[in-house]
Amino acid sequence: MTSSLVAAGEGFLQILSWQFIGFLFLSVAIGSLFGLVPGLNSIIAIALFFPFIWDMDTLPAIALLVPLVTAVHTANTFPAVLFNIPGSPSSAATIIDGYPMGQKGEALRALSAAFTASVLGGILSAFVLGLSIPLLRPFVLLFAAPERLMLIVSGIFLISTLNKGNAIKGIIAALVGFLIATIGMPPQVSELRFTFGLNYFMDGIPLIPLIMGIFGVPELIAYMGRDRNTHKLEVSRLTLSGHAQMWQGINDTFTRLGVVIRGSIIGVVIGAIPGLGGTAAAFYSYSYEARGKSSFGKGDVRGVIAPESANNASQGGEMIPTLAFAVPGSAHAAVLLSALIVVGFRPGISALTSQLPLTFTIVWAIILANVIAAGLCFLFMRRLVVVTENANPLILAPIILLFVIIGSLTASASYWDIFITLVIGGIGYLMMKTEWPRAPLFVAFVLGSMAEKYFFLSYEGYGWSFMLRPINLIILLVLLLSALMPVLRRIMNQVWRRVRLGAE
Amino acid sequence: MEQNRRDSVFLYVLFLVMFVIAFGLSISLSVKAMLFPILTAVLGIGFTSIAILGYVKGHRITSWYRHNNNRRAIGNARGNESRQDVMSMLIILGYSITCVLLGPLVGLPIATFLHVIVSSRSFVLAIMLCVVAILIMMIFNTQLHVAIPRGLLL
Repeated sequence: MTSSLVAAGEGFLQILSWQFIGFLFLSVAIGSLFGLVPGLNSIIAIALFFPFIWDMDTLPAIALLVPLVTAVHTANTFPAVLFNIPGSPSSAATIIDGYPMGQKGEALRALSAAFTASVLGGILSAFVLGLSIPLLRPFVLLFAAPERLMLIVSGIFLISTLNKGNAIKGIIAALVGFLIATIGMPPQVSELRFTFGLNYFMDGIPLIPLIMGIFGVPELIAYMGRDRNTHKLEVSRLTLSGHAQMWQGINDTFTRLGVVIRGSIIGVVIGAIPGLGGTAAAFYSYSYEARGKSSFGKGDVRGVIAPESANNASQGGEMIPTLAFAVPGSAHAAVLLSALIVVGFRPGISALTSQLPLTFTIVWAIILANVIAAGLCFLFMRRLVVVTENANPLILAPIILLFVIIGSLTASASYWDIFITLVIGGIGYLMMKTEWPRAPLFVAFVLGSMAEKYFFLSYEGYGWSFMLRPINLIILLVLLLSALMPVLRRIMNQVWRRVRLGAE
Repeated sequence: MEQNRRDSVFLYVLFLVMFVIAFGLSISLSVKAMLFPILTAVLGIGFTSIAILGYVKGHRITSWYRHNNNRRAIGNARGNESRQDVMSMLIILGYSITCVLLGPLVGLPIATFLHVIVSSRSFVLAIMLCVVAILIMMIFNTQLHVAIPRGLLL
């Protein structure tokens, strides 16, 4: 416990440099732009930062990467409240009450309530993350190779099955991710696999072309195809002036702290479950508050506070399995995890032992980013609306394309990088159009080599009996229960219905 | 029905082919190197087969085909959306080819210029974004020292 407190102190001192604060401000500003423009999200933002962080030290890279997600989660409220369009998927629940508030001329009240709820939710979740680190530490240190393997497999299984859509599709996508991760030299023997005689594949498919291909290219195609006139609205009609509404929004949030706390708890818990993420947290929090209340959906401020606090709180929750077990809770957590690995951060045991101050730096960065993002949104509210209104794919797309191509080239400075990005981009686009989940494929690819290493160590050390170790049996049981839950629920419902019919 | 239309036989088959290739290639290498890929391929073939069987059993292929035909006949907003997506894909392809042929330092600004002038017909905007592209490439080349060797850029 003492070492955790010392590490938390060291982490705090690390964020007090001008370089860190400067990068953090820059990251929040860029992240806010990505949140403001419908169609762009935190995954593209992190992916586009790859070329910049490639050569960086861990500390400034953390200052650039971690606040991006926070800023996107905070700024995406603008298009939701003003234009009835989610800035990114996690603000979709805010629309239900935020947009009617905007229509009633209470846009400023809705926005300021949302930003206050966001900052409170974000800070609360960061504290939960900070407190969970010393608690998880002895638990994580108990884990040997078999348990770590099972943890990775269970994380990927949850991401595959809890994702929207078909569970089998998710599992197939994850298996393809595992298969792509096996290209190149295996960790245990010097024998080349699936390289087809090409030197380029000796070290496997590089991470950056895969990220750019699976997320960057498909999202960019969808973004360029957007009709920008769909969100042309008369913003002038909406009340965006006067301090009274702003204070009212802040007051609304502080007088409804129960909603914020409930939303934050839901956000942390759902965020910590791999595969659910901020969007699910926001909707769950909204529906929890809306139960039996007819005012929801017609411009109730609680309908803005609940999803916004859960949405920002989910980031702290997502970081718990990401940092402690190297199992990312969502697609953007997976991209963030791979970026952090690139700059020398080691999630898992290292993150909780030798790199503990860095882990706490991430916690402090989340807190600071939440405050700065909300502050920027408050200060430049009217100017930021102009960005959403005038965001033109024609100007943004060429610039993003530049970064996609330069980004893919940073992997090995070979034209193969561009080729691989294009091929994977084509497959990613098809997956997007046919609603195949891309997150399981990517997460399995990122964790594939680690899973194979642990699989090999477990198999060599224990044979197939590694599956029967106590912690593994518990994880297996939980997985089986989660897989059978829909079937069990259906059976229980049928039994319950029969019992009720019998009683009548 | 909507979901049926969106489900794609193509992707199931693509994934099945991937697993079969992996499984086939696995046989020629040592067990030590291939145990993990073989397990993945076996599971993959199993799950893809279950998915395809479920797909065919639910007559999804026919409904998918019918919907596709309807869509073509209607030719409504969804068709436009697809056309826009194809255009966007062609743009990305164009950027990539230009970069490969001319090198990124020259190719990227030229591709940006052509893209903007064709889509906006605004010479000023095209020049402006071309200059932005050149600046970004120069920053990459001289300031940040990312893993792109100068030879490749110049």
